[in-house]
Amino acid sequence: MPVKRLNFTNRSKLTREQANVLVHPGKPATFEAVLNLSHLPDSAATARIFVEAYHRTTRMRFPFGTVANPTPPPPFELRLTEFPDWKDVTFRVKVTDVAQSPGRIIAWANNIHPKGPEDDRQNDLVRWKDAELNGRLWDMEFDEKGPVVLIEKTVGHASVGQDGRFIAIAYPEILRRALAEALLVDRTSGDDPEHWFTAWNKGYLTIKLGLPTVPEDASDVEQRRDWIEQAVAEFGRQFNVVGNWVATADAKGAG
Amino acid sequence: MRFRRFNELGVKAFAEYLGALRADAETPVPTELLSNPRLTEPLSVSIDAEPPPSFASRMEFAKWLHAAAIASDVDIPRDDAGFWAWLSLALFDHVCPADGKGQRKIKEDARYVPMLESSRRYYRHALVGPFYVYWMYRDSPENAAAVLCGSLAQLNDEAYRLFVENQLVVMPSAIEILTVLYYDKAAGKLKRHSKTKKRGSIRRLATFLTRFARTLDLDVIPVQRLIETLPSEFDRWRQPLLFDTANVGRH
Repeated sequence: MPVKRLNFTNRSKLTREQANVLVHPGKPATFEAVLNLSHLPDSAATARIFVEAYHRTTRMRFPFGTVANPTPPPPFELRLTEFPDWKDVTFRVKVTDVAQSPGRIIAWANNIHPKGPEDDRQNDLVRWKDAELNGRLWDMEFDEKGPVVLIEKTVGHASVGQDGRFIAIAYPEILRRALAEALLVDRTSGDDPEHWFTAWNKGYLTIKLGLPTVPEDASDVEQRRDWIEQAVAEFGRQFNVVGNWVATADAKGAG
Repeated sequence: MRFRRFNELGVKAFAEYLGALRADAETPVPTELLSNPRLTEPLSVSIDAEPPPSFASRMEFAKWLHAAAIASDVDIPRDDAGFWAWLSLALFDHVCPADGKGQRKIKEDARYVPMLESSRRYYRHALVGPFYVYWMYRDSPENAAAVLCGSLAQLNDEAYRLFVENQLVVMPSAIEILTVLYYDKAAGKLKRHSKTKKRGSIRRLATFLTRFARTLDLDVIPVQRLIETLPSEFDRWRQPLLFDTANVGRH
């Protein structure tokens, strides 16, 4: 007879769709947490989110804001500096009550084996590729799956893509070019299941950046340009692009 | 002493020595292996350090090794099994000292040749486990004193084993509670009677903390609050003992 497992903890388990981790290899490797906690009740709004990376006797813990206001640390702080090899690292996400019953774990995802670059990257917004760019550091190309950021191969994309200066300078422009390609060149609607932009729009632009719906009229170029600029500005604000630049410059100056 | 690492042949030669020592407890330590170019190679980083005549505890060893790395402005190659095996032989008088008759009491090979690929055995290495724990708490190592206070030559204390095996070692609050309750600072060792199987022992604490950690995020609860939450069987450790050497002369 199968043994039924009883759970008296009142702690809900997060699925991989609700909490997952993607690692960017490099020295050190960095990671990003993909969190969708919208299913949690209103009473969990003030609960704090923590992402823990661990391996044997080593652990790193990262605060990701609250359920109502998730604020991931800037990318340069999400470095797995304590671990010799990111492939050994496992992650855990904790949603912790700090109001009614401080310290109680409301929800968690345990034993998350992160996705790396060799895994299926269909869910990634941008793909990276080394290329010969004849003097340029980066460029972009597009295929049916979406944008590909090309990085001069003598530099190496893994390290460049995580460099705070590159993030500050290039990421907003990468976003701008990608949106222009989708909305002004392809003139997609935003809910075309065949177009890569739909995944961006529904999974990221409206949920994460909180943007209004895409202007429907594809012929109104000015309106769509305004929407793109709004997206780029919001991206810059939410990811603290200017702050990242200053912090990176300060760190390099101090070093 | 400039640190090196054993290659595959070097590790094998070291393991053969351990076998020979098991057969004859007076077999001399083959220190010549340490610089044999056929068996060893330079580390990927350059580290020089002279070990002291003795290490008072695992903490002292870890501090020494960490300081050596800092002085060379590099990190210890923590995942290099060849390095740890080499260092074990270099510090063999510390990890497997000879008694008054010149005889060494050899333990299992994993104490000297690390098994880093095994999650159940890697921490049994005399040097790896202590250094890993120290590395985690290097900003405030005194908080981990209860885990690191033992001798390099012994690995039989439950505090270390239980907290590593139950993953409590990566929870700073759990480690601090262990140290606050059971570490005798003045004596530099765990308090008497803390290592029993009885109620209120370290073994029981590990059980309770493991249970707590399933429902509570120990990192956001103050350590004193957690200590107060423990059941009455821990009362004797919560109260400073009348004759606790750490408190003598305080009043």
